[in-house]
Amino acid sequence: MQEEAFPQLVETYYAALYRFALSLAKNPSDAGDLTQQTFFVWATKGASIRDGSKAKSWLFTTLYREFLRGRRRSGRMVAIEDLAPSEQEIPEVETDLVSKMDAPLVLEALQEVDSTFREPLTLFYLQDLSYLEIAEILSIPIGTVMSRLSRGKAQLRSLLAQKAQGGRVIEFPKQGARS
Amino acid sequence: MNQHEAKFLLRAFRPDGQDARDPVFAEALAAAENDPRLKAWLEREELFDQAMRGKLREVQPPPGLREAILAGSRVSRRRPTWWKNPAWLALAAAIAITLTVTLRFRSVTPSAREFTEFALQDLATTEGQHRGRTPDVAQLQTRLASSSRPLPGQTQLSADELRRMGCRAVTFAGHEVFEFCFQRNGTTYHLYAMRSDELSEATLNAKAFLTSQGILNAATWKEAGLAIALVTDEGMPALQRVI
Repeated sequence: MQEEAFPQLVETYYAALYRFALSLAKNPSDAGDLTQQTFFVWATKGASIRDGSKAKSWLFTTLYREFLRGRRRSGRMVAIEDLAPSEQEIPEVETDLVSKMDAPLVLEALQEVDSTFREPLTLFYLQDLSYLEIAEILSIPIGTVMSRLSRGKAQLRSLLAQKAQGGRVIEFPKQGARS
Repeated sequence: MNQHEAKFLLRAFRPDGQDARDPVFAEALAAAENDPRLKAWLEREELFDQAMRGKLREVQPPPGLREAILAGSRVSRRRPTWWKNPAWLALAAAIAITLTVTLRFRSVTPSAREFTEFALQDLATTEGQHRGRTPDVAQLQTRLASSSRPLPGQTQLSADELRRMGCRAVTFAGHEVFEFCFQRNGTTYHLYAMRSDELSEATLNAKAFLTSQGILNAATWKEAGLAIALVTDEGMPALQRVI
């Protein structure tokens, strides 16, 4: 890709990459560092990619690798094992409930999902990433992506329901009700 | 396909219709068309996914992040050579000391592990100098880049062929080692090769053994008279994908 395209690349992807980093690292400072590091790696290596359509996948993959690398350095690496699909039905959460919640509270719920499930879930919700792209970025089989998405959504819904019951969701008064 | 299986698949279905033609979802989508309960569930699922996406996109990066990235990239492009980074120099020095001490007091017929350490050291200290390639090497790079098969047993290389192609050659404990790099799926790999009968170890075999040193990872194996060390600084998963 041409060097002049770099600002456009940053403009297009930095926000989505930051959100992915935030879901992994769970704090804004580390998320900012991870995002910057990803573009730094691009500036030194990724520019050799000629096929611009692969840039998105490359950036998300690099960010994830940088996150894992940092986690290895800090000794927080945990083994990720394939997990069987959930046998239980996912609890229903009203879509309205999510819409009424503040974005930081929704993000907080997402960040509390187990990291094994949170990684594919965040990529799924973030920016048009298909199960195939997620499998490539996380280096896991397609079936595992689907299994983790399924179980991740179950955990997320439970957490959203808990957050909603925690009194942080303000219900609008019904029509006709008086305060 | 029962309802449970259909739901399992459809939880990975994107709500904006991008996956509508993906055959993986075809049967599950057809099941949803014929089952009102499943159809209603899918509609609720899509609304939930859309709501989640909308909420996540409300989270904004901190002010100034974009500008910091752009400024940082300008500085990094001006760097003369990336390997002048103190972390890389420290790593290179540590490996060099280990190698010097080891090879000085031991046989000049090195082991496979010493060969691997040599490859790690070479990459840590000289990557910025890996420039220039002959048309034959370019062809070899393309062949390895375009294949999706694991590398061990599939490189079809020989020392004579690598020499003829004009690969970069370096000397290790008096032996000739060839090096070239290639990319596969956006990851850069450096392949080091030497005659396997110039190594002392009989344990080197077709199954690769893995070595980590700082941020560098290597896989070493034997094939067709060659000892091969494949090195990357892009993480162990990147290495494991090609072996």
